[in-house]
Amino acid sequence: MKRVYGVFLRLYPREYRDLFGPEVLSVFAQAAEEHRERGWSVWAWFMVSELSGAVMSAGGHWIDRFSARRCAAGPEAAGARRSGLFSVLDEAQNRVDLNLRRMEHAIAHHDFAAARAYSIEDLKAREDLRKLRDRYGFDDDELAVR
Amino acid sequence: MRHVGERPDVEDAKPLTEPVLLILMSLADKPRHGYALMKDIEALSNSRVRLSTGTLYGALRRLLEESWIDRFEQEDTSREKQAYRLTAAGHRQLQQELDRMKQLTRAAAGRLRMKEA
Repeated sequence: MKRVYGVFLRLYPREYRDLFGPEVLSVFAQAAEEHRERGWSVWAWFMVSELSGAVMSAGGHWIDRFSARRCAAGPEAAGARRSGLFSVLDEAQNRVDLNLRRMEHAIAHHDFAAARAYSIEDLKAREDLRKLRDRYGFDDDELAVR
Repeated sequence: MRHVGERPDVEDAKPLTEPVLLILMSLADKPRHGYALMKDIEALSNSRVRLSTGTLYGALRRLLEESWIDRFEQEDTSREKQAYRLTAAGHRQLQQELDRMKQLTRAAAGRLRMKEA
């Protein structure tokens, strides 16, 4: 049954599965075990409510996800950025900005060794940011990235 | 739209949904992991409410995003390591909700007394 629930879990957005997937399956398995001990009719009712709950909840997650994306491009972006996902993206963007400032400062002071080191850091930071955007399905315009 | 006479300190306070209220109540005394939360919520509501796993984790995700709860690794449990606890902001929200409910209860009791008198 854990496998069946695992299939339903695929209905959820990827970031949800990454964050909660194994934990959700573990909780579901414990609850299923407990309900099975109470008899087949209780267990069958439990399964119906769990699977329908999973479908409805997955729908809610997708709605939240699309609303967050719309907020990110709109005037309420500041509020949306407080959410966990936007904090992670903001943090990655801040690392890119910081590296860029450090690199400019090093070049301005003719410290080319440091500038080279920051340039390598900059490439890594940009790659991290790109991966995060790809993973959560955001592009530059949607996030209004600096 | 702001209503006339609305108090600015409660302007943003929206009533909590039942799953959210029950989760905050359950975490008020101590941190709990997912399954313990599910069981405690059932006990708190006298078996009236049984959250499905999907509903529970949907509410937990939103609460984490609002920073009303946080998630940490509990080392003394064997099956589930991730546990949840109430943050100061979550505590404030729960208190605010309880105050709102008390005020409503008082108002409702007052109306009933007036009708009986």
